[in-house]
Amino acid sequence: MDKRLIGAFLTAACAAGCVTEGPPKELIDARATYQKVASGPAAELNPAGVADAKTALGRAEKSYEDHKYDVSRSGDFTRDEAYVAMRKAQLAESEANLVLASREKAKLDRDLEAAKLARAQRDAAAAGNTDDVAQRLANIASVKQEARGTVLTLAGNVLFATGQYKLRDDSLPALKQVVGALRDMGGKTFIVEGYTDSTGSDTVNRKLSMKRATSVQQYLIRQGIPADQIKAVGNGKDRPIASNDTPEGRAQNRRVEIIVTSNPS
Amino acid sequence: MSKALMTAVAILTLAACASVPVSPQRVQASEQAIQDAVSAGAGKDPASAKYLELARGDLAECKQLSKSGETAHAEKMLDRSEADARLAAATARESAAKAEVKEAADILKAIQ
Repeated sequence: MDKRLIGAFLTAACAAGCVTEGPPKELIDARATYQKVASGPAAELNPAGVADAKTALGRAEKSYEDHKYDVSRSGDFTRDEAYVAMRKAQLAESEANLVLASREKAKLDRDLEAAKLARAQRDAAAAGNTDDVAQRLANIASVKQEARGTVLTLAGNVLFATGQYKLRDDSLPALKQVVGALRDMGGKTFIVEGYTDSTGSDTVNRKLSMKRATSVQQYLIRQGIPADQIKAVGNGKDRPIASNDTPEGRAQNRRVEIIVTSNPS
Repeated sequence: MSKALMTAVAILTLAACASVPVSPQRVQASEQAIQDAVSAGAGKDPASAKYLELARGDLAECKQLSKSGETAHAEKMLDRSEADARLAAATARESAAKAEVKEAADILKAIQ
């Protein structure tokens, strides 16, 4: 082929390449964003916004078509038109999202009101139940309201023989009443704490108090209190409730406490 | 008409066009759009902050272009600025509404 002919061909090819240059990035992005938005929730929730974006995209497309073959690009604002079109599509989407969020918020507010009402009713029922139970427990043991919960104190000498941790048979009727009352307190957790007086070594006292607390715990579980709601602790001579200098005081200190607390949930 | 005269007329026409500044009302409208976005809370979340910054940048560029007589280009920058400002306001409102939804959902979860 003639060298001049090849040169002319290459020049023409280059020129053709220049004038058929594809759409600018802004227009490609605007088209993609518009497509996404127009096929999303905005189509139904914000048709006016989507229509506005469509008009803006149309202007950008027209500008691109008008200047497609204009090598000078003089007066070509396709990029700016496309930029605005993309923002309008994003605006339509954002406004639709606002509508969705407002609807969700309204639903949550309704659910919240219903939940508050249900909780108030539940609390009122539980309060009534607890009062009733407390009254029954007070007949068989001392009952106190403390920061740690409702504390039910059972005398050690009623439950156990001296130095023993096996429950006395004659204590079982009273304990049965305790179980009945505790079982009615649905949705509670129980801690059984064993205590001794200060006579004897700490180690022995702690072990004995633990074994006694465990005896009561196991009895309660056998009677149907769920095992995961009840735990046993041995506190030895800690936290005396009376003086250890008198026989009466020591008798009071030998005790088992059942602490009733609301479930964390 | 002689060629020289035609050229002179063409130059004068171009000069006249170039000297028409961007309408102050349009600039004011863009400034108002930015102010509205700020009032809507734009700038408090990353998305609206980005669009607000773009809106301000476009407006500044518009003023610059207007001074240099590039009116057509300056007007396009105003279009961009307004579009950015409107989006900044919308994303700010959207972000605040979503935060309220999250807060309400958390409260509901805690109460249930």
